[in-house]
Amino acid sequence: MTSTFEVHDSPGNGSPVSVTAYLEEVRGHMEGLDSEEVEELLDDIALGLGELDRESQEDLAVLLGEPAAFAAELMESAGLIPAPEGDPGPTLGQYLRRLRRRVRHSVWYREVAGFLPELRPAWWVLRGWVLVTMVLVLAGERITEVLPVPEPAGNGLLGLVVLAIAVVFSVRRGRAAVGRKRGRGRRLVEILVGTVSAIWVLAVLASVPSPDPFEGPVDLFEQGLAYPYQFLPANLYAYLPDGTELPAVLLYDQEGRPVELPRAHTDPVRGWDYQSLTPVDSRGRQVPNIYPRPLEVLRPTNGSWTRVTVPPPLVAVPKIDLGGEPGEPAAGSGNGDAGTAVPGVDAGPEPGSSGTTTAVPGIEERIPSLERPQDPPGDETAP
Amino acid sequence: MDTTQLLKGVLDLAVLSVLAREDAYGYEVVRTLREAGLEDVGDASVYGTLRRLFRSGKLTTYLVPSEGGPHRKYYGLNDLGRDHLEVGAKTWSSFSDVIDGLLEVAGR
Repeated sequence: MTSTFEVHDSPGNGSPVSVTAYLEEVRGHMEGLDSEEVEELLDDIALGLGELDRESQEDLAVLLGEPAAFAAELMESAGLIPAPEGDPGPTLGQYLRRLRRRVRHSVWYREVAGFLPELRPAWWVLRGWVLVTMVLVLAGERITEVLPVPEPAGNGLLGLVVLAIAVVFSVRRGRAAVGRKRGRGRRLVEILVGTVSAIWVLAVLASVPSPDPFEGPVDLFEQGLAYPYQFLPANLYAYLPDGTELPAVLLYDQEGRPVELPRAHTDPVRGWDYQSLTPVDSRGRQVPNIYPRPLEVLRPTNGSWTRVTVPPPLVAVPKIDLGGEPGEPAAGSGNGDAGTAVPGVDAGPEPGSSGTTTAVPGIEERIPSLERPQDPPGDETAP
Repeated sequence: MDTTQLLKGVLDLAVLSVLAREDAYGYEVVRTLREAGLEDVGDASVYGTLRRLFRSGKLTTYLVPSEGGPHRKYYGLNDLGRDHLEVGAKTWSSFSDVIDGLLEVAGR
């Protein structure tokens, strides 16, 4: 072991000049090889040769032989030239390492790698969002409802708060980790987290429903129908304030346009395909805005698909007392007669008198079959 | 007989044996081998062998600051290196037994 020695003139890498000169010649005989591999090898040797040089008064070329011979011996023992026989060639690991070195030394890699740190704050924010949305979706939230701000239990404010906490946490962690040395395991975890996040963002973006003519909120708007879900209902059921189910109502929007739901409807949650039929009046004319419509759903039965009529839902309608204004029929007087079903509503396309027993003037003339709304569904000709 | 050719076949084993005793830096390995009797071993061969063993995943390395001089790169055996040494030792042992047996038959 060496104890004290004279510090030679060190050109940058700490190697004495004579060693540097010797290795420079050795390097000259190793051209055409993987440059980084050669550099690492020669760096190792420079450390050892420095010590040899200090211990001995002899010239390095005498101690080690001519640089050309030294280079040849080095390349052979390091496996840097193909062995005369039986060399299986580079393994996959060696190949990948070489590829990585080549990539790392390329100009574009250095440019991109130099720019990436500037994107770190954006990544920290995104990481917070990924964390929150992943937890929510794992907890049962629909993936379509987490963009851009998740709404846990339908609460947008709560979503904002949770998101803010997660982002602040992520940013703090990120800032604290800047410049800190990371082990191999830690780097691997980071790569994994980054990959999963990227896949997650793509998955969320891909799951955002495109405007669908039958299911999108745009359609809801056009229909003039307020409905707090992302898809249209398959049917509508109307009740009087006292809980009496109305056998049939005609629906219009504020412009007097008939409100018409699509005939075909898929429940995006359960995947059921509904098919509603258009009621027709006694003259065989379609009445598109009458509800509830006869509704069928396609269900698997004994290996084949059959249409099943959907019964009205079981609804506990809260009893509401509207105070009973004069001139209006008392709540509960409606006995299933469609004429009294919509008290005081002037909803017809033509202006008419209200307060009569017939809420929509002329409706009986236009749709006499209203009196028998329980006609078998699908029967295109009323009796 | 020129030991250079013989050494080529067993230098891996010799280097691994040195490192099995304790971690060492390149020049230390060269010196230990020479002190053990392998005077002809070339510096380049040892450095090249160390580098190749490291590249094939049999060695670990770490830098240790040395007093007044540049850092030293220490090499040590990992599990793969120890396995390799064990297998190599067995191969060498049976190989040298065979040669010894042949030499005995030859009356030498």
